[in-house]
Formats: sequence, C-alpha cells, structure tokens
Amino acid sequence: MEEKSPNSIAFSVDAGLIDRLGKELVGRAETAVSELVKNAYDADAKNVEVNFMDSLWSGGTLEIIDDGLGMTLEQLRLGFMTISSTDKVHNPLSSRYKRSRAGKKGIGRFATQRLGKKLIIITQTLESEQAIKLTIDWNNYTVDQDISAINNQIDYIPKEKLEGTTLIIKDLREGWTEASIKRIYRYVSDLFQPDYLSESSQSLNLAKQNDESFKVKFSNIIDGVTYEIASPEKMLFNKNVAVIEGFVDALGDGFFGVKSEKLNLDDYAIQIHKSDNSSRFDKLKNIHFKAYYFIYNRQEYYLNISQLELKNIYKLSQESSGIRLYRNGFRVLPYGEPKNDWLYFDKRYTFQSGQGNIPLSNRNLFGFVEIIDKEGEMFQETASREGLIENDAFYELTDFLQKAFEAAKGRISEKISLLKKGEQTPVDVDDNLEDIPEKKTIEEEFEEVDKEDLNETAKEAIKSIKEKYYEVIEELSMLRILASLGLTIGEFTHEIIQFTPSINGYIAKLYESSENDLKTIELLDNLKMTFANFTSYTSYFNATVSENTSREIKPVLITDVVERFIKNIKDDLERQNTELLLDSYGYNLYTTLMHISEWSSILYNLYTNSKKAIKRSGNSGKIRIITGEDNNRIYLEIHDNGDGIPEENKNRVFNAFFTTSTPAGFDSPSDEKLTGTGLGLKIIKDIIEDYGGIIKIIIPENGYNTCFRIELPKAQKEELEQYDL
Amino acid sequence: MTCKYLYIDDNSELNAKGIITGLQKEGVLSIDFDNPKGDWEKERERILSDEFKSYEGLILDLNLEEMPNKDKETSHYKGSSLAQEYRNLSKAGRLKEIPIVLLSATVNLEKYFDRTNEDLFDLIVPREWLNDPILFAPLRQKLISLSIGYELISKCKNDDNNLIELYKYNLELENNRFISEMRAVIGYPTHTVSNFIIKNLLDKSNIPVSGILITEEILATRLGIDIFKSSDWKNVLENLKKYQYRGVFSEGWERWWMSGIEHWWRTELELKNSLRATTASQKVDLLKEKLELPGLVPIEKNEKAKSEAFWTKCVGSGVSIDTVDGLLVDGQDNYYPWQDKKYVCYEEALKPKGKDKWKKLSPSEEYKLEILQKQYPNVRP
Repeated sequence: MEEKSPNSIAFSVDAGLIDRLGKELVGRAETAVSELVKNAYDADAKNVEVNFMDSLWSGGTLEIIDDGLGMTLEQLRLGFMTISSTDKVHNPLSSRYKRSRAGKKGIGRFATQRLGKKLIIITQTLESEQAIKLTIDWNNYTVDQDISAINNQIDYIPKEKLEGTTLIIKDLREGWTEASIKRIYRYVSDLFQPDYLSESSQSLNLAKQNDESFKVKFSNIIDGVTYEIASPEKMLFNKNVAVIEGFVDALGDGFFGVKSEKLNLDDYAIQIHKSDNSSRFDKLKNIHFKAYYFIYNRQEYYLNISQLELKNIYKLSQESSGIRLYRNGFRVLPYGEPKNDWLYFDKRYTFQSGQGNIPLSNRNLFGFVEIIDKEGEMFQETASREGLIENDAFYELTDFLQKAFEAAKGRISEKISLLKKGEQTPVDVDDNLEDIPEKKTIEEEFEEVDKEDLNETAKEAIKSIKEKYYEVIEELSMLRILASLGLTIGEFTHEIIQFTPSINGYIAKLYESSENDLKTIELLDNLKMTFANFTSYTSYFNATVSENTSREIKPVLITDVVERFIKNIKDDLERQNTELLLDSYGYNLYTTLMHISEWSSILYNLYTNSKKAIKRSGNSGKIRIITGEDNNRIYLEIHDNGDGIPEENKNRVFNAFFTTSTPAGFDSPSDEKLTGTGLGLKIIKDIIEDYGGIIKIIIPENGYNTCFRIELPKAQKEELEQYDL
Repeated sequence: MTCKYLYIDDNSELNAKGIITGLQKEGVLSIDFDNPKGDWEKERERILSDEFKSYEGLILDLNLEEMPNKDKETSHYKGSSLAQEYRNLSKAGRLKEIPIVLLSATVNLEKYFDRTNEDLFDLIVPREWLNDPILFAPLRQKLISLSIGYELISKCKNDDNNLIELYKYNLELENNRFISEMRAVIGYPTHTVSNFIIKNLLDKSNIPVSGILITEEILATRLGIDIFKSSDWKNVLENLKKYQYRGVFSEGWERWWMSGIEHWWRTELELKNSLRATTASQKVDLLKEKLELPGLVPIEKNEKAKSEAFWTKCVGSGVSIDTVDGLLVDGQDNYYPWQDKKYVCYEEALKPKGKDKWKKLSPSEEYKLEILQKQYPNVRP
C-alpha cells in the first residue's frame, strides 16, 4: 500500500485511467458539471452556487460552492479520491437528509478533470477545526505515471464556513456560453425540491423538512460582476402568469391563494370546503402546494417575458411540468412525471373551451405538493413503490387540489377577461402601499410645467388645458352637491309619502262627521284639494326617484311623459296664470332606450327656465310644447313668450355655469345657491347627447320668443318588440 | 254588528292611525293595529291564540322587514308568508277561514311580490289608493263585504253548495260555462271560492270585470245615457233596483245583472229595438218616453268613431264606444267566455293618454292601427 504523507494524498491506480475515466464517463462538459452538482446534493447541501468566472473563452474558472456536510481528510481520501467507491452502494441514502443519492457512477468527481486543468478543493465539516485545501494539477496525471507517485498538495486553512465544500476548477478546457450553462441547469433541475415554494408552510411551521431542500444558482462572473444565469426562479418561476399556492393545516382546513403581478391578483387564504356540509377535510392534514402557472403563446398575460423565454419555458414544460408530489421531502413517483395526469387536469381541461382561454393542463403548471406525514399515518406507498395507495386521504388530496386549481382558474379567468377588455384591473387597496411613489397632484404638475421653458403655442395649450381643468373640477363639485341633494330629495319624498294615506284617512273621517256645517265642508274641500296637489307632487317625485333607482332604461313614449308632466304642473300653471298648449304630430313617438326619470329632469329644467323668462318679461305666460317625428328622430319643442335669449348668449347657454340668475352670495343658504347654478341646461345637454341626441335653440313660432328643440333617435322596431311595446 | 279586522304593518301605529281612522266606522268596522312579532314562532302563536279568533279579517303589509317592532325586533318574513301560513292552518282545520287583504306600496309589490301568491289574498290594495280620501269609504265597504261574504260562502257550502243562496238570483239564464265552473269551485276552500268570484266576476287587478255583472258606468253606456249630463240618472237606477246585484260581496261591489237589464228592456219596457244595436240617442228617446224621465241626455259620439250603439268603455280614456270602434288590448286570451273583452278607442290607440291602464294592442289589431295612422296622418302643418 502506498505511504501516506500527512501533507499529500495520492491516487492508488494508474493515473492514465483517471484521464480516460474522466473523459469517457463524462463525455459532455455539461454533464460533468451536473455530476458535481449532484455530488453536492448527495452531501446534503441545501445551496449550491455554480459560478463561471470569465469563462466565455477557455481558460476561465469554475467554482462550485456547496453548504453540504463537507469532508474529513479521511472522507476526502476514501470518498473523493478513491475511484469507484462503493460508498453509494453501501449507503444509498445520504446521511443527514436521507436523500436518495443522485451521483450516478461514483466517479462524478473526476468530471473535474474533464472540465479544467487544475482543481482546488476546500472542504470543512461541522466538527473540523480547520478547512482542508487540496490542490490537484491534472497535468501531472499522464499515462504511465504511477498514480500513487503523484502527490497532491494539501493545506490546512481557516474555515470559511461551518461546513461545506468548494470546488475551484481553473484553466477551464472550454468556453461556456449562457446557453450551455442553462443546459446544466436543466440536467440538475430534477433534484430541486420545493423548498423555495414553501414560504407560507414554513411560516406555519408545517414543513420543517423543507430544510432538506436543494437549490442551485448558476452565475456568470465577468470582471467581478455577477450575472445570474439560471436559478429556478430566474429560469422559470418568476416569469409566471400567476402563482397558485395553498395548504391544508393540521386541523384539516384547506386554503388557497393566487398571486399575479400582471393581473393584480393577490388573494390568499380563500377557503376550500370539503363539501357543502363540512368545511374541514377529515383525513388530509399538513399538506402544502405551490404551482407556477403559464399560458403559452400569450405574451400579453405576462409582466415581463420575452418571446424566447416563453418558448423556453414551453420547451421545458414538455419534460418537467406537472404537479409533483413530495412526501416527507421525498419525491414520490410517478406523480408529476411527463404524461402522468394524476389530478386529471389534462382529461378535464384540455378540451374545455369557453373559459376565456384559461388552459389548465399539466403543461401549464410547474408545481409541487408536499405532504408532511412523518409517521405515515395518512399515506402509504404501494408495495410496488409505484405511488401512493389511493386511500381516503389520497382522495381528499386530489379533491382539494382539483378544487383549489379550479377556483384559481376562475380567479385568473376573471382577471384575464378584464385584461382583454383593456380595463385597468383594480389593485387591492392594501397592496404595495409603500411601493407606489406618491403621485403628484395635477396642480403640482401644472406648477412644474409652468417652470419649464416652453414656446408660446405650448404655453397657450397648457393655459387652455388648465382653464378647462378648473372648469371641470368646479362642475364636478357642483354635480356632487346636486347628486347629494337628489338623494336627499329622494329620501325625503319617500318619507313624506308614508304619511299621505294617513292624512287622507283623517280627511275622509272628517267628511263623515254628522256635525259638519257648510262652512266646515268648504274648509274640508279646500284641505282635500290642497293636499291632493301636494300628493301629486310627492308621488311624481317618488315615482321619478324609484324609477331612477331601478335604473331601467326602455323606449320612452314622449307623449306619455309630457302628459304626465303636465298633469303634475297643472296647478303651478294656474298659479302662474300661464297657458299651456300641447300638440303632438305623428304616432308612436317612442325615443331610444332612456330612463324615464331623465325626462323629468329635462322637462322640469326647461319648464323652470321658461317660467323665469316669462316672469322677467312680465308677459302673460304662454308655453307651447310640440312633439313629433322628423327624419327618424323624435323631437320635442318647448316655446315660451318670455324675455328671449339674446343672440350673443345663444351659444353659451349650454355651458356649465352659464346663468342669467343673480349669483347667490357665498354665505347664502345652499338652496339659494342651487337655484340658478347654471348647470341645468348643461345637464340636459349631457343627458341628451349621451343618447345620441341634440338640443338647440331654434327660431320660435309666431307669438313666442324662445324655443328649445330636442331631438333624439327614434326607438327601433326591435327595441319596441324587446320591451313588449 | 261590528266587523273586526287586524292590521299588521311594520310601520308605527302613529303613522298608520290615519288609515285606520279613515277606514273604521262605528258599529260597522273596527280595526286593531299591531306590528309583526319579529319571530315566526311568536307569529304562529298569535294566529293560533284565542284572542285572534275574534277577528273576521286580516290586513297585511307586504314588506314587514323594514322597521323593527315596539320590542325592537325586526321581522324577517313577508306579509305573503304570513298569509300562506294562515291559509295552511285553515286548511288543516285549526283556524276558521277569514279574508286577507294585502295593503302595500306599489313599489314593494313590484319588488317583492311573487304573483303566484295572488290567490292567498282576497284583495290587493296598492297603498297609493289611499292617496285620495274619497276612496276610503269604498274600501271600507269592501272589507266589510269580504267578511260577510266569507260567512255566506261557508253557509252555502254547508247548504249543499247552494248557488242560488250565494247569488240571491236565479242563475238559469246565465252562461252555462259560468254555472258549471261555479258548481265546481264552490266545493273548494272558502278563500278559493272568494278569489274566483272576485277575480272573474267583479274586479281583476282592481279593474272591473264586465260580463255577467256590469258596473254603473257600463250600464249607463249600454243604455246610451250620459251620467254627468242626466239629472234623471238616479231615477233610472231606481227603476232597475230589481236587477241590482245582491249576491255575495255585493256590499262592496256595486253591480247589475246584465241578463236582468236585457230582460227589463225586452219584457218590462216591451221594447222591440235591440239593446245592443240601437243608437244612444234612440235609446234615450225610448227611455225618456217609457220611464217618463225627461232629464236624460244621450252620450255623444267621439269624432273618429262610427257607431253610436255604445257598448263598452275605452280602458285608456274611459270614452264610451261600440266595440266596432275599438281595438282589442293585448293579454285577454285566457278570459272566460262570459267575460267581456277590453278595448281602446281609436283616439287612445293613436295618441295614448292612459297608458298606465293598458300596455299594448292585441297583435291581431295592429294592422288596424296602421290603417288608422294612414287615415289620420297627423302631420305638422
């Protein structure tokens, strides 16, 4: 046997064999790196960093840093340096996490020779006081040199960390492109366990085993600057359309959530009930799942993804998509293998259409289910090791997952249809509050623009934008007042009409008294009449309000609304000593679909304007309303013999805040402020134009001074049929 | 004898007091008021209590859920649910049958009332009816009439389903179909009988039904007399007393037997001219002569109408017309053969003014409207 010197370590076979083994067993450079990563896995590492340093061309350096158990000198010698070590055969499971060893042929470490001309190993165990540094120069290993004669330099250096091994391969034999680095990633991605998926289960203390996870990050370091090339997050998961995650807790309550930045989804803890009758799962406890959801060929559903990246993910989906199952940290096959459809997603969803194109097949998902079942109470593997026995717990598991994914699909579908409509999806209120930079007010923006050096045209444009802006703001605040006043009136009239029957009851009773003399009866008649007038007002408004709240639009028979309106103002006309004439020409004067209450607004406003004009003129009032049909449009004209509108105002009357009323003082009561807001005609115009109509001032007929004419589209035959008119 | 009703409404008693005052009449009708109990079981207890047995009628508000009762309990059931429970308990023989009236704002009827519940109620009164003091007395009469009618119906049921006793009239000459329907219906529970009679003979959705029985207005129309212009109208009615309806619910619904009027015209007045085909002015002339009542004025014909043999009234405008001058309104396919159809006059069809009373023309009449529109183009000069 070879002699051991404390500062050197020797291979014990022909050195040329190393070269051959290295090259033959590890044909491809990518495989070589993946074998080294697998070694780290076998050493129970949780994190592996694979750094390619200035390695675009040959001659660069590769570092593989893991936080595994590390090696003692003995282990280094026996395990690493001894070829075809039987260690894997004797110990199929790793020592700490009982991982099923992945390093395939036990010679993966010789891959290092395949990769570079020089190898430095720095390794330390939990117990060791120092780290061991082994330097190997493969150039020394040539054929016919006794391998034992080659001594490799061993140094003891201070520990870099608690435990773990670092491989530094220098003078790389070939150059590494990003694509080739990503290929390694794919070779080893099978080893990844869903630890990084488990934040929530960790915080719930559900999945302690997640410590056993395994994570690899590939980086390119060029001139000291690190570029992350491939990590599970970078390669895939962070690019998703949505992340669907959920768990069943120790009590059997199941929840899921969907997160998507693009779709503004941030749901969590939406409960999944076992059934209508029972919310908790009986047999299923302590499971957690997370899946990254992708829709291919739909780049617009992603926040930031290139066509190529999406294509790559699609390619990847052919071999590694699906929902995998991990039991106590161990992958259970065949769940999540290609073509395995244990959740029946493919069967159910592949041919389903009409859900807003939200496909949900295994191909669309990269995900994991973790089961924490230390004692094997819930699940047992089948004797043939071909999966889990399909017991009640298993049934509940598939049921929970199917329901959760179905619900998640619904959430995503809803948001995507919004996205398609081009609507801004609403951001949840408590979302990203801190991230959003404080928005500048428009006023502040104006100030900033003012400071800028702009040409005259731009200044002029900004000035007019500003004016328009302040006008709109003012109008808006007035509309708000009017709206709230409208609501108050609505409430008020609703309350008032509650008393009407009662008051009438008393009136009815008084009439029945046998002691009524003529005088009393006359008083009663007056009371009855006055109250009838009062009632007609309140019921008109109440009807208007209730029609408005029903928000129903339908074709409006204009003669009918005018008739009703006139009935209501009859007493007012008498008091004002105003004569009203009504004519209608043509038949079936149905306008396009409108709110009847809008007609109340229109007619009341126009009538009030006429009344004021008549009052100003001092004339004996005359109003004439004419309705008819002209060129497939329904029109309404309202004439009055008031003081008329001066030519210069004709274009202005429809502007907001144009008013001929005397402005109310700032401290006058609000009702005074409201009469003559100058918004009446503006509101009418808005209503009418909303329905594709127009309002204009036309030349009045003889004997009148002002005429407003409204034209609206006539109801289509189909519209009338639809509303059974 | 005073008839006693219980009125259940979630409104305060103060608010309802006027309604009750207007409807009540000493010695005739008294109404007790109460809020809903706020609890279904308590509600059942109330219905089944001895105290409740003294009531001969029930007035229910539909939406009982708006305001809490005196004990600050809000109810979570509708008046229609209470009515249903009452009818069920009656059917089970635990209560006597009494009339139930629904009194509710139209808005709520539209919002909450499932029309399949209509048959639970003898009368559905929109609260807006009471927006006119004149309508209190007629409603009072109806309430009284309902409770008298229930007594009468159950008496006739016990008297071998005696229809003569129920109608106080010899039904021999009436429509066969009516008689056979009536013979079948009288075997059903009292409220079903009541419903059938009210809805098919007297009032459907508060619009009078014509056919076997007619209202005063239709009577005047068929006699060609203008009520408002004729000082002797009341005297004509005096002559017809024998044919005034005295049967079940006649206290609340003033009607005349149409067969009786025809009989009177032919047999008592011995007039050879057909009542149906003779013009108003001719009929009035004949009546003036036979009855020796000079104060009778014939109804005038509307400008667009052709016939003066008025027979019905336009449902929109109330104008008297011959059916040849009317257009049938929609929705009358399921009428019984003894029921007269409803029409609108040409004027109303062309320029509707009473659209709240009718919705649309029968599809079979639409072509007539088109012809009318061409005949009267109504173009703006």
